Amino acid sequence: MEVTVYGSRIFDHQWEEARRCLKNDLPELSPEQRKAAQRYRISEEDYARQVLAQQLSTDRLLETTAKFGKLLEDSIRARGLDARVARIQLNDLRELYEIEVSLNGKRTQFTVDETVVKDLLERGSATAEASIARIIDLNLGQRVIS
Amino acid sequence: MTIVQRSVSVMVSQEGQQVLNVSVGLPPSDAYLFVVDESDDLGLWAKIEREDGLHHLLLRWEYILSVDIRAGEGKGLGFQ
Repeated sequence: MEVTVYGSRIFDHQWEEARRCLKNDLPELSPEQRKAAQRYRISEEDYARQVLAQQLSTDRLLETTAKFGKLLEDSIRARGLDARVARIQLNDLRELYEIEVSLNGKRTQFTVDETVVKDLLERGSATAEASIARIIDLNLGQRVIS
Repeated sequence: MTIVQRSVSVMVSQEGQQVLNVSVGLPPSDAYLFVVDESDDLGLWAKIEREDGLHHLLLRWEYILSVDIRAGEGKGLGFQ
């Protein structure tokens, strides 16, 4: 399973972590990033803190994406389907998971709204779990709309 | 498209630049880099670091000329 995040965001927790980071541990800025700091008239240190906060937040998004991918795959396999999640990408700006499943040698693509996944992973919502199950069934040909 | 929790480049009017300068001491600039906490009918709520800690600043839409979000890049964990 290929796991990717397209785009980036900054979570409060990671922002705080970057604020507390020692100056010497901040990421080295590229020449382009130095130029950007100048353009925004902020110090290189402040810019580096924002870069770090973004990197840490992206790592968290990647972790969640991988976790959801694994859950999805387990859920598909539990249906006895000869399928695997080939690719899962969180499209950050659209707030969607873009999923590609390989089923009987054919590729099927579908999306799952990030809100539904958040409801499942952060609130343990049974409704979200049922929605995801329905999305799997509808997209992998196990269910028809009545 | 959502801009909450995103780092955005915001162009503000001359009047807006004055407001930012007077209210939070930001030097006038063509563009400002903000992390957006929230956006509502009034404007953008942005994180601002000041001497006494973190503040949340409302920048009203009437001062905003453009909001530029970097489309970003793909980052992967590779194959799991």
